[in-house]
Amino acid sequence: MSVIKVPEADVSGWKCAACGEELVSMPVELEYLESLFTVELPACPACRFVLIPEELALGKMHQVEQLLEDK
Amino acid sequence: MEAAYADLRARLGDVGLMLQCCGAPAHWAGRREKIGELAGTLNQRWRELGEPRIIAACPSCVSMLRQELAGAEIVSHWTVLRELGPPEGAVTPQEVLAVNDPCAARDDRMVQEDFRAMLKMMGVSFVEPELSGDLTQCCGYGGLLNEANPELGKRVSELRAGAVNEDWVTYCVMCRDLFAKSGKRALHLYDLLYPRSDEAASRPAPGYSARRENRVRLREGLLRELWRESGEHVAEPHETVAVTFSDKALEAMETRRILKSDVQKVLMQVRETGRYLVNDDGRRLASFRPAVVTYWVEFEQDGEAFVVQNAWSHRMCIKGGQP
Ligand SMILES: [Zn+2]
Repeated sequence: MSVIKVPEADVSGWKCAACGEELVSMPVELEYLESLFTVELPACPACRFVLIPEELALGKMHQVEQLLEDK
Repeated sequence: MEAAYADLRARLGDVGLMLQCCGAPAHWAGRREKIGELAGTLNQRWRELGEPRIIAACPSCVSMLRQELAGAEIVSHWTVLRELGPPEGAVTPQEVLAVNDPCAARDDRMVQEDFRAMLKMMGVSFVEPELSGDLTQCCGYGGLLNEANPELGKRVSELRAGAVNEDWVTYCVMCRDLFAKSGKRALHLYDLLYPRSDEAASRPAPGYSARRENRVRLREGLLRELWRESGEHVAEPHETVAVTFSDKALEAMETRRILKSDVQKVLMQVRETGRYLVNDDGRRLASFRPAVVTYWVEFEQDGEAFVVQNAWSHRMCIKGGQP
């Protein structure tokens, strides 16, 4: 499965407080209503804590959730 | 609510109190199994209580309960009050008000008339809006419109709220709060019958979190003071998290249906695990998924206390150990 890239996920300046690592872009699996997506998202390279920015959650992610709910 | 209940006890004698949802929101959402469950519980409790007459103030409750409790006599609080007359301490505003019938009373001539008769008995001057009685217009809440399509709900609210120049007076709490939310002065008839403030018409709508907390407090207060039962609400661990909110955060939470308790769960997670993100500019960000929704909270920390700046949520689940 191909990795989806989203411009909203381009965030800088965030660090993982627990690990002290800068977030880096990496493929992350997202699941909703039995659909699985691999999306490139900023995450901690050590503990894989993922950042879902506000614009992404309320924008594209919300649209996909609604599409799947209406299916 | 407490004053209305005290008034009924004082003037009717033995009156019990049932604090439970009638199921109208589940009905509007098409959740039939949920309604069936609820009707079962209601019927059982009603029988255990000796099949008493039921008094309900909300017109949606009246119509739902009539469907769910076959054989029960469901009477509107306004019918009861019309017989009893207004309670001592009821106030009559000087201004002319406009009457609003809620959707659930559209086909209920009796409750429409009881409401107006109460106002007349109290000497309240009122006018009818263009769309009234059987042709009354929705406040934006009916059918969960405001939840299913907030933008359209807002337009419907504003349309109805702005249909008159006078302050509204109504007998549905959702109509009252949605008018207030769109910036229109509005009263519930309880505000005149059981007054608590001179400025009831401009009281802001409580919002999701406060409405929920008010319900919990009402139950606790009644159990403690009226029934002397120690139904003391045991605080959940997350409820002990000290938190304040910026105006921006409060607005975001209200439009995004995020409760104070959801935010507290995220912050408790921060306190317990120390897992969150920190930005060069000082912002902190954490997430938590208590059940099916993942909540994100942007915050600052002042010692033990959290100051919340923003919050958002999504339903899609992040795989792989995200809190
Ligand atoms: Zn980490």
